[in-house]
Amino acid sequence: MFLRIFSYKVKELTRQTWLVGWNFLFPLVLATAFYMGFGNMIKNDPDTFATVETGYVLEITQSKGFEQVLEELSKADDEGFAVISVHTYASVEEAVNDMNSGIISGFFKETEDGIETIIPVNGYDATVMNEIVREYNNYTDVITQVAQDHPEKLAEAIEMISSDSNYISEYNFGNNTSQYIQYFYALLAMTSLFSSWISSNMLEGMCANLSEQGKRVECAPTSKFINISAGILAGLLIQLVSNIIVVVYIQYILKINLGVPLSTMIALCTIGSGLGISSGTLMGSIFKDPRLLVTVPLCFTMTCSFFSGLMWGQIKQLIQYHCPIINKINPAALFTDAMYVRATYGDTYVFRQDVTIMCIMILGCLFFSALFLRRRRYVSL
Amino acid sequence: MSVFNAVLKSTKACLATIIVYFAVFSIFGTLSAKSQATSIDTMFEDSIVTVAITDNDDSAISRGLVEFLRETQDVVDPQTTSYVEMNDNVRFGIYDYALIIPEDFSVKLISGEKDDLLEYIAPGATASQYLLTQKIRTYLNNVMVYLNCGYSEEKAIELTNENMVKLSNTKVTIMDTSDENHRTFYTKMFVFMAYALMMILGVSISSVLTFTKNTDVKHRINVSGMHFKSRNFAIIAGVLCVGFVITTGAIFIATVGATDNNSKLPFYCINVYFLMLVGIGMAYMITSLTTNESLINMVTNMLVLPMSFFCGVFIDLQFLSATLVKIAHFLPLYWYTANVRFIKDTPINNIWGKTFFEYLLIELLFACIFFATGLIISKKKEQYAV
Repeated sequence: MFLRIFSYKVKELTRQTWLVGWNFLFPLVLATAFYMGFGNMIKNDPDTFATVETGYVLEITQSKGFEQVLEELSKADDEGFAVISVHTYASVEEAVNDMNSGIISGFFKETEDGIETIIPVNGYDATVMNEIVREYNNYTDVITQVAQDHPEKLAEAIEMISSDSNYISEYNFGNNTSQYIQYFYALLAMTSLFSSWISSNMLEGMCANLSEQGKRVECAPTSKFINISAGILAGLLIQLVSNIIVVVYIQYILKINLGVPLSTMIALCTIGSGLGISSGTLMGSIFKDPRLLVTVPLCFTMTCSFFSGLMWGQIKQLIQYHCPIINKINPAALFTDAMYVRATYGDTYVFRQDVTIMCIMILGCLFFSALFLRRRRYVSL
Repeated sequence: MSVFNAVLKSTKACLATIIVYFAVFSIFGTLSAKSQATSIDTMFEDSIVTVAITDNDDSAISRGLVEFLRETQDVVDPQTTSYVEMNDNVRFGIYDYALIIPEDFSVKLISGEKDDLLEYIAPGATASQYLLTQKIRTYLNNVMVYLNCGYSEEKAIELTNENMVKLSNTKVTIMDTSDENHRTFYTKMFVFMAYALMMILGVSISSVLTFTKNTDVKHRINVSGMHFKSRNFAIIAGVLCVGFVITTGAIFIATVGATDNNSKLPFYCINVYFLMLVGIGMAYMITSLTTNESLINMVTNMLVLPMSFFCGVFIDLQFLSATLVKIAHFLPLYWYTANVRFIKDTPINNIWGKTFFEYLLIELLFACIFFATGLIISKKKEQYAV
């Protein structure tokens, strides 16, 4: 009997056009849209510091040392990166023309009065250019100061200034997940939670107080437990297939590496789908109005997805910074966080904590659903 | 008149959807427009980096460094000692840079060690990372030069701070001659409006048209004495009226948040009213496909959301690949956003010309294509009794 109900539920659910559309097609369309929007940025981070194209106009017969500084900075380092690329101009007018055409980000003008930086707009390029002039002026001041107070140490000071001193190094985590991947994790979380529709819709057809079909189902001599568990498993299977399709589409067709091993990803998707199905069952057992059975799961999914970073990637971390407890009770944020942590830091305590909380949520939802659904008796149907 | 009134009354059914989308547009549109709008700069301003500092050393040198950064950058509390959490905060823009000063920092520095005395966490090789790392290196190098030249620790810190603060007097001139560098509040609002308006029109007009396709309603209208032409004219007028009210409402919201007057507003409005025709055409096409409200919502989302991503509504076209931008030429929102950019970049006296009308004509053609597609689908459905 269990297998019969299970197979009929699978057939019934897959034949509902709107359900197939929302759970199978919509995530694929959204994934494609995300890929078109963020695909470039995942592969080539737009925030990466690029060589600044600068101009240089010398209005005196010989540079007082600034030209040599620019030459030094335009040499590539061990990784082949140069801070600036210098274009030399004979006049300010030529430099201004190139600046307005976007060929250079600004230019330096060296005159008797010193060095002037000319830029079109404020921004990081302008600040970097100004920083070069500052460093040049700074070391000139330091040398002047030392020459005044301790002339015997001048040679040592010049040597120290010219030597390479690192002082500071970057802490390396080994694996830097792009912040834009977050949108795909949130998309998978949303897809998983969409399954709440499946179970709430399924319960509508199983409860005598909700539909004609429900009356027929409740009249049948089949155990309610077998009926509902077969339905829940059918929904879980459909949602899992939908999630796997989305994962395969993102990872192998769009060629975006989600950074999580496939087996872990399938396990997470199963837990996520279970979470969606169980929360939908709980909603289906609480609400009696058929209209609310559509509105409440939709609002629940979209609100959770919004706070997990589906529309605004930064929001989850903002919540983590100000009120982390919210992320621990939001199923979509837990799913997104589990994916992100597994991809960035590996199988850590936080990852296991996220998975455990999701499993507890599933059990909690099913327990309370059972409390609401058990022992419903009707005098007449 | 009765059909016209019925069309207007049926709009009430989707009032909640209209209000939700208006709310989304007014909140997110205004927020994003305010944050991304740029103005013409007249004075140089350094780009400030938000840096979270953990000072475990608490020595004179480390305090001097923190003080210097506090004067020149935006220093915030990391609110954690975990490197992982700091990395997450840096990666998702809560702060740009996390600086960790270890306990033995000053001892090692004074003893002459030069490598890896401090640690930082940054979101990759960004401009902010380069700038701040460079500033910290310069600061520490200055301190070390003074210390090695025989100055006391206090004097070395004092001289370094004096030097670094004095440096803010460097001569910088802004020569901003190009209007094209800037995104105005209006531009951003009217670009974002493309998504909101198409969604509102798609869902609401489709719902209105679905009402007229309801079998019972259709039969009652058919048996009435009303002439075919006047009945259709009333439906078209009703739909246009609803579209006009929604579009005018959207324009009102777009202009309410603006702090300055924009003389180009009439041109933006004309462009939006042509987009309204595209939205109505699209809604007609969707209604010919399905009358199920769930499906209408889904199809509208599926059409509008990707189109907004491809045509530069959510993301600037410069970030999209060249192939995608070429494909976007076959979508109506591309021409709408192109016209917004054209209005923004062109002096007001030169807007009213060939290019402006070309863009409007293309939008009108797309509206006709949607409408024609809807007619063909309806015809075929009737023909094959689908």
